[in-house]
Amino acid sequence: MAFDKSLLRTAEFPTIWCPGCGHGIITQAAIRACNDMGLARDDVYAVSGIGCSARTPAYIDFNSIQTTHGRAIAFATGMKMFRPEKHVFLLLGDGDCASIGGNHLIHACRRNIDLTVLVLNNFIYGMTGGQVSPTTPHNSRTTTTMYGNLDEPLDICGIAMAAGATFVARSTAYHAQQLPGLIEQGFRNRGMSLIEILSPCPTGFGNRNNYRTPADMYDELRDNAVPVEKAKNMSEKELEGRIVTGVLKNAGREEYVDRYSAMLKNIGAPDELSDLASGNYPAEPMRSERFECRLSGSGGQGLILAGIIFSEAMIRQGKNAVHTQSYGPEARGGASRSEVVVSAERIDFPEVSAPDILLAMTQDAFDRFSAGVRKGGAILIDSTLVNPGPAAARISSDGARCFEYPISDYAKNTLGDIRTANIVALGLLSGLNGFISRDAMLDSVLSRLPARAHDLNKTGFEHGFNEGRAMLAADKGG
Amino acid sequence: MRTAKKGKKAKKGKKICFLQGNEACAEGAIAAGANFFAGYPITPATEIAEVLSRRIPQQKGCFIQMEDELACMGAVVGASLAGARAMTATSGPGFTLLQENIGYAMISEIPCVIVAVQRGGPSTGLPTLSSQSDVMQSRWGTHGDHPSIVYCPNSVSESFHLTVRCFNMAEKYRTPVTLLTDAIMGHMRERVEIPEPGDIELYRRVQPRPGQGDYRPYDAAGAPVKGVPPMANIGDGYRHYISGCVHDETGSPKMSSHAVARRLAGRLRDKISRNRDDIVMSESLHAEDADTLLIAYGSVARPAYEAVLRARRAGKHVGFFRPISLWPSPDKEILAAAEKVKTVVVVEMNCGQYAGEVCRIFGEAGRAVRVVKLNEIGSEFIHPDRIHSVIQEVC
Ligand SMILES: Cc1ncc(C[n+]2csc(CCOP(=O)(O)OP(=O)(O)O)c2C)c(N)n1
Ligand code: SF4
Repeated sequence: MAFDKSLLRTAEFPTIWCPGCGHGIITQAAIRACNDMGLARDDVYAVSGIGCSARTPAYIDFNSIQTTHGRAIAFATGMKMFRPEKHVFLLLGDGDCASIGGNHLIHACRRNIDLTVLVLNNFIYGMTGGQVSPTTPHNSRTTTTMYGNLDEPLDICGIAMAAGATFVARSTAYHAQQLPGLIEQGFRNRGMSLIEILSPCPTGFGNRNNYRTPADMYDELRDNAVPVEKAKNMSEKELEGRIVTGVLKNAGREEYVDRYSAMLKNIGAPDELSDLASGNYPAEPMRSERFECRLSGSGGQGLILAGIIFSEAMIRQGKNAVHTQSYGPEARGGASRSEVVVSAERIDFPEVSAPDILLAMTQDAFDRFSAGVRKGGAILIDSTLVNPGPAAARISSDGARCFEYPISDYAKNTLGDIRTANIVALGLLSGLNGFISRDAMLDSVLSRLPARAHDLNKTGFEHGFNEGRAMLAADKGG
Repeated sequence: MRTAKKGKKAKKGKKICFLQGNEACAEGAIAAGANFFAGYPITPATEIAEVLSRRIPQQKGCFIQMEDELACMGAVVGASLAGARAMTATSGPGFTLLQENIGYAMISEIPCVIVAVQRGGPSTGLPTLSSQSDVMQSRWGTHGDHPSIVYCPNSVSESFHLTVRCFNMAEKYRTPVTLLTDAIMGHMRERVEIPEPGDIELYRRVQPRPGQGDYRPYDAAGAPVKGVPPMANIGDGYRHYISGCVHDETGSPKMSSHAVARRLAGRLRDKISRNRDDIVMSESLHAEDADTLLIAYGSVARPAYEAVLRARRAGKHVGFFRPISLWPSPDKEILAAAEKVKTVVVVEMNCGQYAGEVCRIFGEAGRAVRVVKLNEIGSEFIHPDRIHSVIQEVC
């Protein structure tokens, strides 16, 4: 059990610790454990939170990081993930670890990430002057439980074991001889290790709870400690008020960062963003500088995707396009709205004010939006689902034209797949609008769909396109 | 340490892509060499985590979904200390939970990037709707006196480029940097030109000279970037002590020395203020002949600019100013744009958080201008018509 004094940052001495405080004993044990293992000091991260206990890294010549109150485990998780080759050990108070940082503790245990956590449990908030902590015994007096502590103390080891830590042990500052060995075992466990070490705080706890001297507190730790092997044969009643010490759990399980590294090995080449550099897609010029399109219906009809495909076709044609969509609870089965603004110029306001085209794929969408269509604009109705009724006449008198096609019926019954309805609709819209290049739209459709869906959707798109052209010709003729 | 294998890079050229704002931000992080991301799901920022959960492992970096945003920021700072280019992304309530550890990164000078996609608040507020109500949180969210660097994009393309810039500024000035976007920006899709990777300039933190025995982690004397001490990654052989305490140049906590506290706080302030010309970004359009200046930022800058153009076509002398860095505030640039201006209209989706700042700027400069606030507090995107009618009233 070597003790290499050069591991102390003596420039930071004297320590802040009170006479009789257990934290110094534990610090020494941690240094011994590192010495015994022959760890190179550059390879050790000593991480702490805030508290008397958390001062420890300041006094040892490792890579020493004192973080914020309760968050040391979170910091250490980032460090360990990024530098798996380093040994990361943490020195935490009971308040730090089990109260403010309790959630991080549970989740580090769940992950079984390779951290070694030493909990310096003094039953109290030492640094702030002796307030109740999650491990304060029932009825104890603290500066915030002047009538006695109502709570029962939390079993930190129990939590760590239940949450999935793979090495869990308990000891006390009295058992200075036993400590380095336990800490070393924790270090050697590849996974989450937690060692709870009971540490007297004469100033914050002892004074108010009838301990005459610090020595009384150490005597009590000595007298109450029961090795886990012995405890196995004792009844619950016999164990009341006793401190079960030793290795409580030592069960190997795959470690988190190892799993992560293994996962990385199986990941293929990075994704490439698809390039929409404009191609040669002849089309009629746009009638106005800004063109607005609203695709509306219900979630699941693929209108968001249709809006993206529409926009990408415009970009292929060398135009600008901006897509917005309505979000929220609406995105799940309720109303869905997908909007595209197209321009040859830069687009400032990205939302649709008065659409040039409205696609209505539910009655509700038709009822809500048909009146807002721009004069001279067009409404495409899925007549399988929408009955325009008398509104149609009103709309045409307002100057918008109404086109109807049984989009869903065709998709479902002729193509045999209702999911193609959005692509049929895009075909219709392309047929109805000369400034949309049929090829640009079709290229966009195919690039956004898996190869197995290409044939069916191509058929649907082309059918829609031809129907659209025919409707347009009839409209112009009439 | 985790590093991506450098394969031979094929010459690819720039690309035209159609991306969502959040996707562009994630792609910007990849282009900036981000190799650590810790996140927690929250609307409207979740897509950033979703994209990076696929993209970062492809670059051999680390992606982790933490147990909450307090943990996200902790993990990000921890990873950056260890040498990572690290980022998190969140919104409203999550942004609040990041704050304590943002303060840690400020005082201990740890580079990191935070993306905050604003939604309606306070509290759960309006999770799916946009707002600009975290402008002051991005400035003063963490406790204590400190400078902040915050960029605010108004397009998907800028979301990409400013994310890269956030990483560069974070590394250059050893400080957290925030990209403040909003739900409209985050979910909007738009054409983006993605430059070839080799054409994106990346700034990496200055490290001490190898084996520099006298390395003092907070000593900025002679540092290549004025006021910014070179930063050794932990575990690279220096074994310095890092904490959130006020510290001297060696990193040693000094919690009762006014002189040390003053020196540290002063350097932290000055490293940003003295380099402000390198950090500040803004855009000023048609300001030359303006007697009225419209100020808007982020997504709202788009309808605002459209309204300005409309008013100018009708013969109004209206100029337009857009802070791109909200913090540090482009004081000098606003004053220059407003040289002959009598009225300033500040358009924003909050109760006037930036308008207060504008009043400060003109007040400090002794300039008497009328500051008109145009605010939307119900999270409805401001329509150009509404802005235009205010211009008509005041101009
Ligand atoms: C967020 C936050 N809340 C509260 C505090 C104040 N504080 C400092 S130390 C401490 C308690 C420390 O108790 P414990 O973790 O048990 O360690 P000990 O001092 O007993 O070793 C508290 C509450 C803080 N620093 N940060
Ligand atoms: S207050 Fe308690 S825990 Fe803190 S140094 Fe003193 S004895 Fe130790």
